[in-house]
Amino acid sequence: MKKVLKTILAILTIFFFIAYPVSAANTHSATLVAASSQYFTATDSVSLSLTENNTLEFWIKLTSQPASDAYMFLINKDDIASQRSYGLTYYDAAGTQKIALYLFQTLTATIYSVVAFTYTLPIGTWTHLAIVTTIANPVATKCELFINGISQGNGVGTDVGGGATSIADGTAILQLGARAAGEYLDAQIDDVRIWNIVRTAAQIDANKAVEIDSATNLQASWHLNNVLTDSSGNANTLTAVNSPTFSTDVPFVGAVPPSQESDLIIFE
Amino acid sequence: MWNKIKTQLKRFKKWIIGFLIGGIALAAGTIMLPSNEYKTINEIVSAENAYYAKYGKYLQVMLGNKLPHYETGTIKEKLGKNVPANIVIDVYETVGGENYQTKYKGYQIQYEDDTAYYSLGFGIQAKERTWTIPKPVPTPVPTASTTTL
Repeated sequence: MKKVLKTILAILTIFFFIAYPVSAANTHSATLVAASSQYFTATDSVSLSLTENNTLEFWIKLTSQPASDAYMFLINKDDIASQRSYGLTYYDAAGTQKIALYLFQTLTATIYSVVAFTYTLPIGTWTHLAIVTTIANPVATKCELFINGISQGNGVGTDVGGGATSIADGTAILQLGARAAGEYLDAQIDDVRIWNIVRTAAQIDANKAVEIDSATNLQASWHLNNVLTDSSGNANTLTAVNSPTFSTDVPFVGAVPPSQESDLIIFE
Repeated sequence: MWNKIKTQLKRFKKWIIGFLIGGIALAAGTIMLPSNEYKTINEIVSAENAYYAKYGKYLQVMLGNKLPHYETGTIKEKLGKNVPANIVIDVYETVGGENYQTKYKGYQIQYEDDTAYYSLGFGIQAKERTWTIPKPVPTPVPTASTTTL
């Protein structure tokens, strides 16, 4: 009986590492200084063109809050002109901090949805942020925000031109920490992941402190361990603009196998 | 005759001295105060390329002829002259090639006028960093409220 159990455990372990490879350790994060216009870009690719359901997630440690009525862009694929796809921003609206996701159905923003969540990210504390989009849902339930693995609800949505039921496939570059040439993020970021699927609450929570190298529906995975490469296998190599730096200050240390960290790891 | 000239010279003495001093100052100003600012994009490109040849990196220049927090000194010291206040130079670095072992560096000069935003890219990403985005033509304010982007 013991032998059988051991065999099953061994098979399950092998299956996990095949289905869900993880990195050895989380060694670095990236520091973006807004005052020096620092950010990352990735060239437009099929994998970054999210046209339907998706999940954006990453760790963030804010250095300063956005100025009054100013925006800091987190993840963005929007040239603010004729190639508008999606954008996640943290901003100040008359003294209240908010997180909002813009989803453009048309490249010139004649049809889009925006969902805003009132949430103040703390300064100097690592926070895991995930936002999930179910594109076919009405705007009231289109997006859900998770902070440190805990749902913050659906936010307040606005539809323009009828609202987005798909996301435009534009050619704009993807930016981490900026939009067009401005609205820079003042923060450290780590383990940025883009999925073209709705990740469940359990998946988000269980994997927030795991570096995932590749998985089904994982479109991009930047560990930012002192490298610019994409671990998802989709070759979305980052370009560092204006010399952002890497820091050994990280939100979690290692990619600990599930048996040692949590029983909640969800197999793909 | 001479007395007549002398009288006239005495009469316009102050004017003559004024013109002489002004002329000398103007000449000195022209010679001693050359332009401290690059006038064309080509000049800035040459300066950036010279800087790269010397230091192995391009120099970031922020709006208002300012350097980013990680640089010391002044733009004039580094590039030879100042850069016009409305010019932004972003520098970039990426990796490529076999096992991502090759580093690529480049830069992007941006400015705007009344009608458009302009960007000129240099280096491996020159093509994707070169663009012109026309500024939106002002339209009448809509009556229905919409969410600000």
